[in-house]
Amino acid sequence: MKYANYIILTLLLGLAFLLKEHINISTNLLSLFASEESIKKLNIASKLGYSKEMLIAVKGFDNSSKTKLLELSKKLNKLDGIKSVQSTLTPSKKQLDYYKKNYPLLTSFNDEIQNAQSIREKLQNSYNEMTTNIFYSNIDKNDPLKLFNLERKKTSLSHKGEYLALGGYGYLMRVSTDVSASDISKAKILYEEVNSILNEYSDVVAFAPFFYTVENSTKIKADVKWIILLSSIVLILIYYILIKNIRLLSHTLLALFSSMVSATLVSTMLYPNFNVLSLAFGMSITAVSIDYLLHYYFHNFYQDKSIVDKNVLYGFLTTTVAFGIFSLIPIPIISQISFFAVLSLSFAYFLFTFIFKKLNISEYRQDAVISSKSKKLSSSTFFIFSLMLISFSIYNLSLDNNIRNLDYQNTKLINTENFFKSSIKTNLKPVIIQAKSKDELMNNLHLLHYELPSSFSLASFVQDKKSCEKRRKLLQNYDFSNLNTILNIEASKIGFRDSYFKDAYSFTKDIPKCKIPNLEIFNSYNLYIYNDKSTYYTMAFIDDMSKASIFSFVSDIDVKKMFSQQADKMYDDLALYSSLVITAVFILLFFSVKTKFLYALNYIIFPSSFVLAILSAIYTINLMHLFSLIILIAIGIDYGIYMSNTSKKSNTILAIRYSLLSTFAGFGVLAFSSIVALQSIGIVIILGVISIFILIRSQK
Amino acid sequence: MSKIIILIFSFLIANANTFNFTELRYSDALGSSMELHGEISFFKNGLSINYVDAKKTLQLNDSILTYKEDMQVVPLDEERSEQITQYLETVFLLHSGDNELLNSMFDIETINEKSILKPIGSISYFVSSIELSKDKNTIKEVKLFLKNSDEITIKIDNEIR
Repeated sequence: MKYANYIILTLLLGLAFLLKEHINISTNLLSLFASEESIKKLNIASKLGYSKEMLIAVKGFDNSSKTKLLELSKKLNKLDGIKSVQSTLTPSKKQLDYYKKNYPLLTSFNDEIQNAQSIREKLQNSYNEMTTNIFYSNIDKNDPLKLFNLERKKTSLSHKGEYLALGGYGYLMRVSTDVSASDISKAKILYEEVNSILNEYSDVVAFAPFFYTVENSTKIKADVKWIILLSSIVLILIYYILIKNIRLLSHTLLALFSSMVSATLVSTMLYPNFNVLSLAFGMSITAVSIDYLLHYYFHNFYQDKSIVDKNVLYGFLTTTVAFGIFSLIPIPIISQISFFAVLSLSFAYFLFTFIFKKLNISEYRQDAVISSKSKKLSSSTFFIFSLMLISFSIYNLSLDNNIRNLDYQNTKLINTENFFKSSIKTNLKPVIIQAKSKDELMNNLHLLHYELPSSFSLASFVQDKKSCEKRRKLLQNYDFSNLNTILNIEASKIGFRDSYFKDAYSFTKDIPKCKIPNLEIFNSYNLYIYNDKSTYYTMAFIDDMSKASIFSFVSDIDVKKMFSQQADKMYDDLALYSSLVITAVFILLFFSVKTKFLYALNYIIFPSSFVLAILSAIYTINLMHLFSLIILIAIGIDYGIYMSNTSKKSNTILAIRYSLLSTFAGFGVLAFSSIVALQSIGIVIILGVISIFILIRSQK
Repeated sequence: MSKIIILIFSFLIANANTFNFTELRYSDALGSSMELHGEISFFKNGLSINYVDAKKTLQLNDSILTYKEDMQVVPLDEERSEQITQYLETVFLLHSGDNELLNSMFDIETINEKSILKPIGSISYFVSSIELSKDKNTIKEVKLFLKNSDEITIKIDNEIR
């Protein structure tokens, strides 16, 4: 049995190697905090090109800036992940063909009956303009009377001549890509290709949502690696100093590693997108299980004949019940971490309790009895003080519902994003429009356009069927043949070349049918259509959500709002599940310690109130702060049980102190992380450990 | 189309400050031509075009366009103003002789003293081609062939200063 830990770890690693294809680890932090409904909505939005746009600004409006703009446009157009590059307001050739073909239907039409006199007046005005004006002017041989007028599409984008402009900064390029923020491999390739092009130029700024994916994921991976390394080094050092037994140390490390591997294997295979952040945090929680070993070791459990130690069992059960309840919470990050913790702590408990018993671990010999001369306070004093701290916290408490604040704060990119947002100054927000068919979709867009005339959507380019048919009928009933005859007679009289207008208005002969065109030609305006089995979707850009919300076919995709609503829901869920956990912990505590209930309860209530009071005085409290508090409760309850039921108090205190040191090393290092979520956990645990030290030292 | 005319001016003015020019506009609709005379001047941040006989002047300074008739400022409609501004800015490009940018905007083919410029971008929707005639590296004549079969010829008369 002395090689049991080596065999178990080897088997687990072999299993991990065999199953490596099935291990899925995600680095998309936001997916941890979004509801399923939001994710579904964002997926549809992503298929409609939302957040796939890249903005590039070239500083200045001089010739060299224009050269850069044109060169960049050419180079970017050649890249695989790029669908279109728009740097001017000029329509594409396909769009022009569409306008040409559907000209009589898309333009406004002056249907007043024209007579010889009105025709003569109009032609004479044009003639005078052409022969006297210093500005060149011409006459349209197809529509010399200007009966048809194609209105210029109003755009919210500023421009300098025909070129798009980013306020007063310089020229702007809107690049449509097929890379979504969640597609890390594609995002990385395009990010590198784009940057290798942009690096050739000075004074060029670029931003795309997928830049966050690439930059943050690289940073997060590096951060997590560093944290794991730092934590491992500190833990190994501490374990060695504490245990001073190389054999026991090596077995302990093997057991912890096996627990982490087993939990990783199960979690990453059961969850389709188990997150790297949950993994890092879950591994840190595994280190907490060292307290089982320390308790066993300092109480010489491995020399006893008893199968289990009641105190450790109660502690383990309480902790796993707490995490078990949290693993059911509908907040992905908390449920993932809790699930991982249940698995790894159970595995560690099994190894430390049953396998280590067979390892013939040498007996612990106490060097000296620890005696404290400091003045002690009663349990009730601590309890009252804790209640005061809680009151103080409630008074100062403010909750942060911006989940993005938990992510790695990529300040440089956030500033670039804000720079583009503030310079573009558009008040149009995207919404998803849905319908059962393409015709219904166009109809819905026109209903929206009617309610919000400044909205921008496919309705800005494509008519609805009803108005189209009405126009067709009007044109079919208009006598263009007679108009052409009078026109040619009058034109000759004024001085226009004979038969120059012989084909005038012939474009009204074959009016196209009212059919929805190939809408892909409007992709360059960021307008796409997507359909699943039964529903068609597109995007519209509107300036007043309250007016649009009267339509059931409109869905808001304001990410900030979506996530803050989700955060509020998370706080509610957390409150509910925390109450369940606290109730369960109270019941288990009562059965474990009975008369020393208040004494043990202080190990929960004092650390929580101490941490909350400090946090609420200094920080805005986030979800991870609250979750870490729950972890603290789970740790505190173990110590409460150990301290209440101990037969050898000095040994128990020693075990707890060493355990706290290891928790400090395991979690405390998270405070050095640049990911706010991890940093928050680190801060809470450090404060919590300090408060438990105070309790051990000062509670009577 | 007025912007096109301004574009052509730019070919006439390299390395000079003020020119006299003659503009010949052929209208396919009328089957006849019209002749105009004027001056074009360059300064640090802009340029001005002066049709002396008509007493009409266009001036672009720091991207701000001003149109004057009889020394009085006359507002232009937004669309026309945008077009003129855009093309007057192109004049700067041509005046600066920025071949890099010219090559980005046109396919240029040179045979002896003549160069044919075929527009690549949006100008190609209105202009078929531009023909430049040179004499000892000095541009003497520019012909503009429009999509509607109109033609505009600019002849450089002399450099004033």
